Amino acid sequence: MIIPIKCFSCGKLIAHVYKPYLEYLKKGESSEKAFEELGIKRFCCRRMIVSHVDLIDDLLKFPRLQ
Amino acid sequence: MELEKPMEIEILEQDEYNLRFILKDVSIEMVNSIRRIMMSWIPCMAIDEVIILKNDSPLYDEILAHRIGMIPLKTDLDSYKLPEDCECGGFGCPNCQCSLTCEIMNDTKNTMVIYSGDLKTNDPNIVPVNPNIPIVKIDSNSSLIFEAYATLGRGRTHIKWQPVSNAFFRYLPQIEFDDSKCKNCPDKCIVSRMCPENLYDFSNGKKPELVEDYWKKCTLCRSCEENCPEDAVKVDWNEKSYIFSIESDGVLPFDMLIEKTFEIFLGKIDEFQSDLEQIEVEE
Ligand SMILES: [Zn+2]
Ligand SMILES: [Zn+2]
Repeated sequence: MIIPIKCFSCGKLIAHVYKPYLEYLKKGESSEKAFEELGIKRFCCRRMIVSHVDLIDDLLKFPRLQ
Repeated sequence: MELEKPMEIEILEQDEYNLRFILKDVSIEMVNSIRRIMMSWIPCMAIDEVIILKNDSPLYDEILAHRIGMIPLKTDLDSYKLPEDCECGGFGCPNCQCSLTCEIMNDTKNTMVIYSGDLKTNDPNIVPVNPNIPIVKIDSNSSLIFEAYATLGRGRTHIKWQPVSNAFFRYLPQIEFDDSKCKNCPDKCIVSRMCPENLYDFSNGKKPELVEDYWKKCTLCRSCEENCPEDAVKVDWNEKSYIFSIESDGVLPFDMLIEKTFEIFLGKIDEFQSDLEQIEVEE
């Protein structure tokens, strides 16, 4: 849906690096390099970002019950 | 039991979010209690109550409230009390609560992300550690209005009140390397090739050398000990020294964190002792 705020396994704050991570990828950097620059070291935190699907953009297209 | 020597702390690395130090002359039980106190007993600030007035986002109120609660807030332990210790009895008063509000109307034609920096706080000391944490996305002509109350709490209740994201320790490795046995070795040194952390320097091609600060990296995998054909390596660890690593979200500064840990630790020992004295043993 939307990027979780903390890593499920270790509790590190990860939500704020999702956007910069995508920007790194857009520039053509490898995700390993991006994670190194952003200070995400453990694989539990890396999978949070790599495996995330931002479904909220699709859901915004539909009308909501008020 | 009396400690032979007082405990020593030697700091190895420190930056804004990470701290590594060596704890010397302590037992493993004590190091573990320090770790557990850090994770679950140090109070810190997090949003505990959210009143949602308008929510046009695709997320349900409950999910939104949960996301808001997870945002780490900078904590000021001097001016706030735990709700259960407060005079108000936990109902909420300026001594134990801080209010944060958010009122956003999206007038633009595009979707809009609401960040933790959009939270307006009553107390400038209680702010999100990072202003770029996305909370939710809203469509154009939608709005999000909520009021939130942050209180102190402990990690044992909920992880949003955990001031460290990762706290762990490991034994201090000690490798005995007898390089006089190396001249019998017919092959190129296997040990230097097998070590996953490259702790054996074999660049001279004659004798492998153990890197000086191997204990910083060594994971005690024992690959050197198992692979050496001449049994020149013995991997062991120091029973009384530990490498302790803490990773924080920036909720509390490290000096405060460690000070508070020992304060709680000593308080718990006193509590235990006074409880023990009250018990009457029947003979
Ligand atoms: Zn993690
Ligand atoms: Zn109060």
